[in-house]
Amino acid sequence: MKAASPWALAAYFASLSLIAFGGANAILPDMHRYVVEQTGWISDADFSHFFAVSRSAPGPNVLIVTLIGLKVSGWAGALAATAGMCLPSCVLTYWAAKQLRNNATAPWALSFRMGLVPLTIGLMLASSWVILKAANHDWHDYLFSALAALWMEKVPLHPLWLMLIAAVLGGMRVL
Amino acid sequence: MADSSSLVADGKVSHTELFTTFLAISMSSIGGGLQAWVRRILVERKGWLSEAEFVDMIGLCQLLPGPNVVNASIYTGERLRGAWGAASAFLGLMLVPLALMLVLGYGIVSYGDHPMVQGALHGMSVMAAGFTASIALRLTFQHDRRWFGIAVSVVAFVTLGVLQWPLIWVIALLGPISFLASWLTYRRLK
Repeated sequence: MKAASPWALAAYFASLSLIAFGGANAILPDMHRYVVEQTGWISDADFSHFFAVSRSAPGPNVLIVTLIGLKVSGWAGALAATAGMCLPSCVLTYWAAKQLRNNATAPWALSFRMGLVPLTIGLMLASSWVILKAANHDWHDYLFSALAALWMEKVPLHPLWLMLIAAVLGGMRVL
Repeated sequence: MADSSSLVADGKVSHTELFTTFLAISMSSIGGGLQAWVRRILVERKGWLSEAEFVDMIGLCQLLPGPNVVNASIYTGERLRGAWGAASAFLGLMLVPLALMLVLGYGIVSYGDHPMVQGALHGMSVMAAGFTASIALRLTFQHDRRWFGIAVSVVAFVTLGVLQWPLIWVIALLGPISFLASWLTYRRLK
């Protein structure tokens, strides 16, 4: 793990904020590329752990950046990362909400949204790929991921239960 | 065309109510699955948006960068109580999750080196990766298969996931292409 200034964290996450179409999923691969591989701020293991926690906890998944910031640069880093991630897109949304008061149903908006869907799906697939590689080390990890995927599809029980089981089994070093 | 008269624009909704409503929305998202709750609360329970207005809002929120639910909080807050309303709604959504994340993060950073903690986190990551893949694959196969859309998805996956291009390159390449295609479709349909 390397340290970095909160400013560096804020700057990087701010650069992602305005291109995060679809939220956390879109930026996950870029985050992994930058914070794990390019800068070495955190490890693959940390990245996948933070992903799991931010995804399970209440609130938007983008809060993974809070954990990254905390690990890299303490409380200041956590807040800087979160502010960097949220503020630019929030300001844009605020402006858009005011401007487009009566135009939200406009056909151009609908067709643009349709156009975005394949892109968002591609970004989600890329995101899954990156996180699978970061989290899984060997064949039985992949097997459990596959089981989790099947569980999500077939079993009506809330996935949080499976997370709890995974945490317990993992803690006992069974997984 | 709907105007804003069906929204409570005369200040009847308090900032506190915006805050607590979006707090409830964020707390109900534990484990995932946020969007259904947003609709249930904003349209059915509070009546702040009509069904049509909700669809409009979600559409706009999906078009804008950032998480849909965050955009939704700002949009709803702005419509009901302007800039301060947007802030109240945003804080309601984010404050408790942020605090919780700081607590959990502190725990992980402090005790993370313990092998049991590492093991538990590893187990959770493996599951989370599986869930994420499952959702992505389901969306892939559910969405209607026009060859152009498939091409865009594949290029996005390969450039971003496999080749590890920076996101900005991928958006710069595929964004305009997607918009152009959807605009041509829209023109043809008009």
